[in-house]
Formats: sequence, structure tokens, C-alpha cells
Amino acid sequence: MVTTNVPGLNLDWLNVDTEQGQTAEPGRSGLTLQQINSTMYGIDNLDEVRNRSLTVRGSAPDLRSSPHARQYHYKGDVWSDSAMLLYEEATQRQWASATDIPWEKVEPLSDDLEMAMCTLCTFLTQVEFIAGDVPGRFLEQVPTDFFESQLFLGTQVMDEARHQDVFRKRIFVNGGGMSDAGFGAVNLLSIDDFTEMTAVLHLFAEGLVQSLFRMGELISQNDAEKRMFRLSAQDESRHLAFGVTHVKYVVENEPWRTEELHHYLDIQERQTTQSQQASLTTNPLTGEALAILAGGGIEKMDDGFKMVLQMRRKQMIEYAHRAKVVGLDRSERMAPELRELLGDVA
Amino acid sequence: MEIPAPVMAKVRARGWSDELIARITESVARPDQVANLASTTLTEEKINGWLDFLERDPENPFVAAPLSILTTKSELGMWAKPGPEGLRLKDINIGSYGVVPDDWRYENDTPRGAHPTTGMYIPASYSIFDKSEVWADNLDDLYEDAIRDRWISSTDLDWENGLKELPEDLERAVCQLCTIYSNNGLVEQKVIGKWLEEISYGFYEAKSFLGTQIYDAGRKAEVLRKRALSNGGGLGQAPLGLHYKGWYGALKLTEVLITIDVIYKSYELSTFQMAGDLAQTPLEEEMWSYLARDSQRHLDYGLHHLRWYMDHHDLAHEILPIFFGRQEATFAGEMLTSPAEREALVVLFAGGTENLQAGVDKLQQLRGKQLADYFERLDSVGYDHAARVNPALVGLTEDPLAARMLAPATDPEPEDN
Repeated sequence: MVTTNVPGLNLDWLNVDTEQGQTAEPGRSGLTLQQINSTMYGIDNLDEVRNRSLTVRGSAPDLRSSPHARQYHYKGDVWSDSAMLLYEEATQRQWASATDIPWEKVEPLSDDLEMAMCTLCTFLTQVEFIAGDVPGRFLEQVPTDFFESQLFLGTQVMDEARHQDVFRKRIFVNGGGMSDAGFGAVNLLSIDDFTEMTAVLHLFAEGLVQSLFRMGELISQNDAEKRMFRLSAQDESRHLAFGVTHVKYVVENEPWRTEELHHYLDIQERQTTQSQQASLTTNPLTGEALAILAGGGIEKMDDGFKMVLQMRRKQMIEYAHRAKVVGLDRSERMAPELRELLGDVA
Repeated sequence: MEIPAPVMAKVRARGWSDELIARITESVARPDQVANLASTTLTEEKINGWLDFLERDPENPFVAAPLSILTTKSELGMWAKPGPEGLRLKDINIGSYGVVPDDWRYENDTPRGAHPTTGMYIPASYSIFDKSEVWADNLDDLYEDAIRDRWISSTDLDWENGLKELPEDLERAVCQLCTIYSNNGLVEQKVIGKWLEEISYGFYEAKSFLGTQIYDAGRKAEVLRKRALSNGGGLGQAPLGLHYKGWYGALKLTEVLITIDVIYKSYELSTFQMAGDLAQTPLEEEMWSYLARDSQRHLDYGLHHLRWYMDHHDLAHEILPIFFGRQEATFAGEMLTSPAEREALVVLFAGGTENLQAGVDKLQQLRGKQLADYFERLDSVGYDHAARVNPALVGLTEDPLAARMLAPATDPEPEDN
């Protein structure tokens, strides 16, 4: 035990009973969160928070610290087995809209194509604006014992800011401007629970957006737009994976919540099919824009319509597949209009 | 279809040929569609192509598409050009889009520069509509700088060769600092995160910059934890967290920015800037240096917001002393009653536990530097605070271990009768 005679100095912290002797070997990806969690500082066998204050996992709590009422208590409330991996991936794959998009590749387009792209990008800046607000809300609710989920959501907030900015930038580089704003994604602000967020925002909404971005080749008119969608899709894949693995964790470890999860999706699907209500990527303004972009102009909207149908179908196939993988088979309860899109796949 | 006179006027103004007009008249096209087409510079070939589509596929649902997306209430003709550092936010703040209003009017996610489509407006829960409560004149650059200056803790630090075995007391002191600052990073992230949903779209640059700060705060929590768990040590004593009460207790965004991005960041930056004294290994020297660069951006936002608030908020001169008073009190309270940070600094400054008084002397220098830096930074934006600063922050420059300040009050000597 270390002691001192200097007045005011007691060095109690040198004697706290936390595990010492921790070492970690960096691997090919450097020193990652998984590597430092291979010790007793990890989360194995930890299903409920040990301390309700804001004390980070593994440190010695100050017994005077007050509890933080806004944090969840159970691992199942917030945990995602992929949080650490996805966090590290997010830090590795950050990109800059200022310099990583070849803006010089954007060339003047006819008014229909330019306004269609501006309409789509206006819509996306709305969606991405709120897609940052929602995870931002839940950062404080992640218990410090399961902080990796918080770290990941922090990267999502960053990603959404960048998406919002890259789509805004696209609007202003090629002779266009903002289109009139549609419903956007205000409904997402009604989300009240972490797991609800992962079902509604990640599994459903970001899933649809990711499918759309992955089909960016079909709607892009130049290499800058292709890269914009490709990089954004990469980010969305992480968000989606986080949500999928959280929902999977809940289904596997708290099966009594399965019906609740289905219910979130029931509601979300219903909203999506009501085209005059707020919906993601399926509202009339963006539908029209997508048809013009995919077809190559107003004169080819029949071709565009076919491609939009393909997109919708792909979105729903991928969504249904993801839901099934996490244990939420939607084949019997998917909204009929969406189920119709699945066709033979249903 | 008979083209209504107002639409015909638009069509004529566009110079469409009589042949095209005749074809439109004979088609299933609607007046609203024609009016929208006439708002564009589309060629007759394009419009004829669209008429072909109407004839070719009359059952297609997009035949009825109003083509309203071809028109907008917003300004068109934007040709933003990338500068030497690429296409930055300031490069797209052009025309009417460069105007950041003093009061933002839309309660939903209508982007700045856009207008809601009639009948498609859902008010949302945003609460910050007054520019003075959130704005700073350097936000666009700070946001882009944060992205440009990004770093990766797992690979940008040399975990392979940048560490070396340290004596136990020094290793534990490093780990103790890492424990506290990592904890602070997590809570910083939580507090800022909850304010995002308050900021309306009119001031999106502020939200975007705070997004980068959230990311930075997470990285701070992560890299410091990695350092604590990689070199033979472990985590130490968690902070008491009185300052967290201040952060959470801030009831306006400006107060949050004052407590985190001005008061706390100023002290944090002054500490991180002493990397040469704190670092025991090359890895730490680099780590503190990266963290200092991040803190500098956060502080720059806080200070510039403070100046903006002073210049634009009617009651700033009354409110700011209260914000500073409340927040310095919890911050100083943490410094006084949560001794692990200062004691770990003493051990690091002393090079171990052998000559602790030397470390105390150095801590006193740091406390003096922190206070002087704090005043200088506030002065730089025109906020004269020295006369009102919390006395404990001054006291710590003379009594860095707070030994006298925390000493139990002694009973007065009984008076002789």
C-alpha cells in the first residue's frame, strides 16, 4: 500500500481494488475494443448493470456518486454483439464529403434529371437529419456498463451528419437547388425505446435506405453520385448490422419481446404503405424522382417505373430476409401491399 | 385537353412550337403537368418524348405523376465550386442558402433553404429556433476540420512499439488519468447527444459539428480505455461526477456549451497541451496531442458561441454570469472533492511517488496555467470574467491539493474571560 506524508495527498486511488496487470496485443487491425475486452474488463456474464451511476465499467465507483436515472438496467435493453466490431469499422471507414467525392465529375443535366436528383437529395437530407437525432437521444440511456453500444451510436451520429452534408452539397453543385420538402422522417422522433429504435430506424428504415443506396448505380448520372451512394451505403450497412444484431440478441435472450418487435414492424409497414403519410423512400415525391432518374428522363418513365418496382421489390426482399434472420418471420403478417412486392419470394 | 390561359402564357413564354402545343392539346396530359413542364428549360424533344410515354403506356401509374418536382419555391441555379480543400460547407453557403436566419420558422425537418410542400408538413419537437442560442461564426469550418483531422486510435497510435514497461506507480497514475478522462468522454457524449434533437434545421451546421464532437468524445473514451488496459495496468478510481451534474443540469444549450465547451474544455486543453510532461511513452505523447487537437475545436465552438451569444442575445449580460456561476461551481466542486485526478497528475509530474512535493509544485503550475489560459481565452472573445470567477478555481492555484480549502473548520480559541 502506498502512503504519503504530504498534506492533502492520500493516494487512495493507488490502492483501489481493480484488476491490474492488463496487457493487450494489437493485431492486424491495430488495438481494437475486442482485444482489450478479452480480460475481466469485458462483458462476459454481465447481464445487468452493476452500478447505476455514470461510472465506466471496470473502474472503482466513487460511493458518493448518484445514480443516473435515464440509463437502462439490462444488457438486453441495449446490447449488440457486433457493437465493438462495428465501432472499429466505423472509425476505419470515415470519409470526407469535401474531398472523397469527385465533384468535378458532375456535369450539367437536363432539368428533369437535375430536379429529380435535387428532390431525392432534399428528401435524404431530411431523413439523415433525423437519423442523427434519434441515436443521439439514446446515447444517455445506454448504461456505462455496456458503453460499446453508445460508442457505436456515436459513430452513427457522425455518419448521419456526413450524409446530411453530402446530399446537401450535391444539391448545390450542378445548377439546381432545394426542392420543396415532403414529409421527411419526423415520425421517427416518436420512438421511445432503444429496441424500438433498432427495429424501426435500423432494421426497417435504414434497411430500405441502404437497399436504395446500394442501387445507386441505377439512379446515378455520374461518378460523383455513384461514389456518394456507395460510401453512404457502406455506412448504412453498419447501422443496419448494429440494429439487426441487437434485435437478434433480444429475440434470443428475451423471447417474450418478440411480439413487441413484430408490432413495431406492423406499424412501420402500415405507415410505409400509406403513401400520403410520412414514409421512407416511398413517398410520392421521391417515387417520381426515382422513376425519372432510373429511367433516364421524363420520356422514359415507363422504364423508370419498372426499375423503381425492382428497387421496391429488392428493398422488401432484403427487409424480409433480415427480419427472418433475426427471428422475426414476417411472411404471415407483412402488410399486404408490401407482401405483394415480394411476389414469388413471399 | 384545353390549356388554361395562364398555363398557355407560360408555354408561349418558353417558346414552345405550335406543333408541340397542338400535340399536348390532343394528349391526356393535364394542365398542372404542362405548367410544371413549362417551368423548366426542357427541350421539345424531351417533352415530345414524355408525350410518347403517355401514349405508349397509358396504364402506367407515372402517367399521372404531377411532375411537381420540376418546380420549387426555392432558389435554383446553384453552382458551388470546390476550393483548395475540396467542397466544404462554406462553399455551398451561396445565394439564399448562405443566409442563416435569426429565427428559424419551420418546426420539422424542412432543410434550410427549402419550403414545405403544401399539405406535407408535420410539426416536430425541435425547440431551438433562435440563432443566438446555438450559433457560432466558425461552425462550417470546424465541422470540416473535424472530418479532415480524423484519426483512428486502433491504428494511428503505435501500440506495438510505442509503449514501454513503466514502474507500477507511474503506470497506475497514467491509468488513473485515463480512467477519469475516459469517463468524462462518455458522459460528454451522452450530454451532447441529448441536445441534438432540440436543434432545428435552420442551424444544421451546429448539429453537424456537435455530431463530430460526439464522435470525438467517444474516441476519447475509447483510446484512453485502450491505453489503461494495454500496458500492465488497469482502470482506477472513477470520478465522483459533480461536474456531470452541472452538465446534465444545464437547462439551455448555451449553458451546456459554456460548461462543456468553454469551462471544461479550456481546462482539459491546458492539461492535454502538457503532453510533454504527462506522457511516459511515445504513444501517450501522440495520444495527448491528438486529444488536444480535438479539444481545441470544441473549445473554439464554445468560445465563438459565447461571443455570438453576447452580441445577439438581449439578456446575455444578465444570464451569462449565472451560467458561469452555476457551472464553475460544480466544476470546481469536482476538482475539490474528487482527488484522484490531481493526485495522479502529481505522481506523473514527480516521476513517481518518491518526490511528491515536486509533483505538487508542478500541479500548482498547471492550475495556474489553466486559470490563466481560461481568462485569456475568455478575454479573446471579449468576456471579462476574472472578477467573478469561482473562488475555488483561484484557490486551487495557491492550494492545488485543496488541503487548506477542505480542511475542517477549527473551533475558535476560547476567549479568556
